[in-house]
Amino acid sequence: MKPAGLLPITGYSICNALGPDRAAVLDSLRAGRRGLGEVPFALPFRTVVGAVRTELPELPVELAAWSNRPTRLAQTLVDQLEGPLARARARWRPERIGIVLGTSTSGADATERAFATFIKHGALPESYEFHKQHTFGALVDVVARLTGITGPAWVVSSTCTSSAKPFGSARRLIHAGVLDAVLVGGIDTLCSMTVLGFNALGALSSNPCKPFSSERDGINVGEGGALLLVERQGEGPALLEGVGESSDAYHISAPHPEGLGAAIAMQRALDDAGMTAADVDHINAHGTGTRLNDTAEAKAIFSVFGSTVPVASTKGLTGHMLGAGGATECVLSIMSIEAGLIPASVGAEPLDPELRIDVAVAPRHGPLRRVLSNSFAFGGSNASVLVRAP
Amino acid sequence: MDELRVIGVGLWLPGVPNVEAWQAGARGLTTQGQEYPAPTGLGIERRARRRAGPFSRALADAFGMAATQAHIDVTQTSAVFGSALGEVSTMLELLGQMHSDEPLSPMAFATSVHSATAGVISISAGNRGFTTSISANYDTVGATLLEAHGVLHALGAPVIVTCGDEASPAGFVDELEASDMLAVAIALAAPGSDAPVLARLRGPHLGATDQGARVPAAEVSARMGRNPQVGLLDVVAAILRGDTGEVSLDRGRGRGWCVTVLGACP
Repeated sequence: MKPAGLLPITGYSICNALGPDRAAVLDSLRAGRRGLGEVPFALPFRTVVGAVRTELPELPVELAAWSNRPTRLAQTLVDQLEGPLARARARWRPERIGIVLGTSTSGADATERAFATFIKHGALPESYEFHKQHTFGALVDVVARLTGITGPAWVVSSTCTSSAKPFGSARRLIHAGVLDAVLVGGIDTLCSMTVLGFNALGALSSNPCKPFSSERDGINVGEGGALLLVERQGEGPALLEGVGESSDAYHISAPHPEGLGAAIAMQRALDDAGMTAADVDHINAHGTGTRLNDTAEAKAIFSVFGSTVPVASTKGLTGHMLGAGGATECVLSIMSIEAGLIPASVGAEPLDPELRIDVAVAPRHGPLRRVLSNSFAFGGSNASVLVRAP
Repeated sequence: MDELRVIGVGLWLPGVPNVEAWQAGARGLTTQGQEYPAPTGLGIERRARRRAGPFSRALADAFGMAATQAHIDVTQTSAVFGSALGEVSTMLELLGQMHSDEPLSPMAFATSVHSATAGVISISAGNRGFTTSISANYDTVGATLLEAHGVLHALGAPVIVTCGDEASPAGFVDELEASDMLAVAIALAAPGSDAPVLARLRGPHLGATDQGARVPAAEVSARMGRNPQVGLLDVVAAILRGDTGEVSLDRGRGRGWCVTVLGACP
């Protein structure tokens, strides 16, 4: 596959456990301050989560029937992005702008509460409408209404690659001439089912997670979201240079032990960009903090990059944001470029000596040209996104 | 947008296990209390197949039919899966477990995710291409075809689009809106492909155009007609009938995505 060419990322927004906007998130990133804390609902075991602690705005009255935690988070993110969105709407016809978002939970939290009412009273709450509260399509409908974008709009849902893969879709749709701009991103919010599910898989840590540490014992679930505007032309904080996707063909919930699919995704991202491993200055790893993921990812990184590229996982700060993780970590990668900062891989000490990669246990400062962001998911879905300085 | 070349089709409906049965005139039963042969799921690896529910098996059957007809190497191909509701019955099973004394099943959790069937099929096929799982309510079929455009343009190799939804969950959807289970697949190639072409598709596009008469929707029950993915069945049915013209991809329930079906030869 020949290199597909650069696309400007003309704006982004972010909200997660580190803070409700770019400034707060960057402050926490610089300080290496974890956003992990108590779970806001009852559980029969101990863990910590990366919850958004700030009040989220209500939706406009005409969208009240769609109001739930993910759509209110969407409102927060759209508000932050209003300037770039307005410029894009002026630059392109609204039907030539698309929306491709990732989510793994969408309205699962609302459905959990509705189901609890159903169990107790034998009927769903009157305020609950399945198609407006639960479905993935509802989230993207709300974002379309909030942004005034009238082009094609859909959700990619592939668990932890959900919001990394939209970068590939955007790149292909713009290069194919189908669209001129695509709003990509991801939104996931906490729900009991996810936390209980990862606990059932034995993948949840009861303490703040420790990606790449010899003491790592699982993930912390996080919530939040990020939106990015990718355009055919324009100016912005970064360029989307390459995207690589692959399948592991191995197991429904475990990574290929040698990181084969992950390595293919990273190499495809480099090939898509026409770059080599030596051109990458930093990798924002998937780095979940499970024994299997971090071992497989480290092997994959070593096989493509050797041991010299600084690697950090930001999940020790935000928790694992699942369907919102890919877009969030892409924004964090752009913020790394903007700030000249490789963030500390918080929780990584003591480092696992078996992992032959250079994990940044403390922040490193200096100019960064290119950062690769990795996301890997259930079913062996892999996606790597390469962003660079403009 | 370039035209899409249709090089394979597949389908599964209750009582219509394959394209041959559809062409023989079978038009389907309902999932509501009628007996019908279960989908085989033969494309799913044996151990995973034992755990796979009817929806996963139906998608695998439709995917396999389209891939076989198109002579596609399933170890390398890219695939796009579309579903409005995903693995909704497994998710509701998990919710039930959460409200009982049962421990949550780790396998049920792993297979409750929207992309579970796509993952199972890619693992079973030994596929190292990439698979994308899409959802957009009644616009899902239009979205999958747009995504396929991008993949075909980028890779130049065929892509298999598979759309399906389970029967709508009882109690969560009004009976007048309830739908039956459906799985449909279509294998697509870019212009210049040397695979035998069944038909060409122009679009998808929003709203009607002047590119031909509206093709009648496939004759199915009202419940089946409400499945969010029935638009892809309408496309496949038009191709199998040899009809040309415009096909609605959402039967008026979404934003109005349509595609124009053209004959095999330009």
